[in-house]
Amino acid sequence: MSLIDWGVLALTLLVIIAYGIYKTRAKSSLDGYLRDGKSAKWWTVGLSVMATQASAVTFLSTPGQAYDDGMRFVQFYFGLPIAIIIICITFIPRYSKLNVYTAYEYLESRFNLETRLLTAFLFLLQRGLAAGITIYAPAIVLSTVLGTSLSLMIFVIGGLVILYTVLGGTAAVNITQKYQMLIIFLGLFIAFGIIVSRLPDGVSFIDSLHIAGAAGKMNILDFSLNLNDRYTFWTGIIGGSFLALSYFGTDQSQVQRYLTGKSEKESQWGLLFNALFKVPMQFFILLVGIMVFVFYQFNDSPIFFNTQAQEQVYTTIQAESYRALESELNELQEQKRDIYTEGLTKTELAEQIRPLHDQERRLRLEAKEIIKTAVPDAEPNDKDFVFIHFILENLPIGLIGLLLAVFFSAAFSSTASELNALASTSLIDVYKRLFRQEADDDHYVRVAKVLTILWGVVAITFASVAPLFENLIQFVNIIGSLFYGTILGIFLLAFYSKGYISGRSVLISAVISEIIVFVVWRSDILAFLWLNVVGCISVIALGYVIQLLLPTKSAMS
Amino acid sequence: MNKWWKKEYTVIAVANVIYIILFWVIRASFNL
Repeated sequence: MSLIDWGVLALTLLVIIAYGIYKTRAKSSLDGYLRDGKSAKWWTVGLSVMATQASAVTFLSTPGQAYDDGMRFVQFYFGLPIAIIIICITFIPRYSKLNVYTAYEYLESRFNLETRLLTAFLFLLQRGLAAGITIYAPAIVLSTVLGTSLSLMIFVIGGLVILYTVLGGTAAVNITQKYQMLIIFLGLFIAFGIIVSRLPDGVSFIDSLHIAGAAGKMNILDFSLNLNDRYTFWTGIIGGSFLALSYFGTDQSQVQRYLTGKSEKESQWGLLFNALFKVPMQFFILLVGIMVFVFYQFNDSPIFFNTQAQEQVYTTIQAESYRALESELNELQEQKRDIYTEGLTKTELAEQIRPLHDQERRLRLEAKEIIKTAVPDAEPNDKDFVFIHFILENLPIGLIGLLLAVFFSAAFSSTASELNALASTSLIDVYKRLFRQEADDDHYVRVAKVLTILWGVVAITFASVAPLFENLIQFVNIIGSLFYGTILGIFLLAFYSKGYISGRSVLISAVISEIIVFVVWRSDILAFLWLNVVGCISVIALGYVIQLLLPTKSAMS
Repeated sequence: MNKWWKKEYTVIAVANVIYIILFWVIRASFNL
């Protein structure tokens, strides 16, 4: 990468961080530090919620996902607007009324301290580990393509986020997220424009969609009733609703974003902004991936997009067989180009091109197998490298730096929200509740800062040791769905059971539901999104059953 | 919750139904 790109990258990131710190330097009250003094307008809330959800992996992986699997991933987000409307009607008014700092505070007022601590603990466990992965996942890709060490990348991302999150608290997170989202949108639009402009003469945007469609990539909707497929309309709209309800309604990293709203209405509008734009935004990111796919129909693509791993293969005894696959792919790509220029009808094109796509897929799988044996340390999944490879190889100097700033901005914005929320929950639900209820704001702000640093160090440490525990990374990726359903069930009982269910019944039903979720997960009969539905429904159903049984039992004894 | 708010939720719901219809049209036009 050129010096100009490094300059653009560093300048973009540092100016946003410096501005965030400068603008928020005078926050000294606890309310100011944790909730931005409840002063945020709806667009700040909206962008902050969006920036929190969209991590670097969203922008690295999603175009690669479209390149590989087509557009159907967008269905994953269909439940989100439904969930947000429910949250606006049910959750936000209750949080506002009690003027809470964390979602879990609400549960003590409705049930008991144990329920509050259980949900806060589950959040800290899950989000504490996830924060490590939020740093690790982009760091592994960015360090590979930029040729820096992984540890340095983890330290830079983690260190800068800790710096501004500690100094400015929630306000700094909010203000930086606004500008980070601006960079993200700008970068994506520029990348999209450049890809379209690089299509060969005579191939229009519409033609490119036909080319993608002939390869089966425009599979946006799938109405099949396969419960083990995570990307169908039904899984998205039902499983996705439960997941989004739990994530936006009960996960402090999101709840804290909209609790900063100046009024109930500003918080609701901020969330509704996401309900309106999230699906089109995901569609657009996937479309960028589709355009990258079409671009590589007319230009040579590597057989494995992590080209650094390829370089290593060339030095092994597998080099010859790997190069043989590469020349086969080159020939195949030539054949495909000939077919595209023959002026065939849609159906003819699909009939002729499909076998070649299948053949290409087989070649890429074989190459992957060679990489796995020749370079065991390399990530065998090159999906995350597709978009960044395209950027580094095809964008002009200056814009490469800007596009890299997109990935870093996304990494910063989601990690900052996580550290901010972890510090708030450990301060409000644990430290302030259990250890020191009466102290002045200065004391609590100091503790919040120390806790932010501590959680940042935990995240950096976990990110650094993550490569040693491959299974742990996979576990952390699904850990959300293992607990989310249960936590959501507890909150829904709190909101809707109208005092009928006691804290004790809720705790027992939560423990049993968690066991059920683990059994269903281990038996592998449902796609993981459905675990949210199972956990939530079983907490609610068992809550009522146990409440019915408990008084009888005590009467008998 | 007043009427005005209900209108906002309806707009979001309608917009998302329109997205899905558009996706259906795109799939029908391009995917083979």
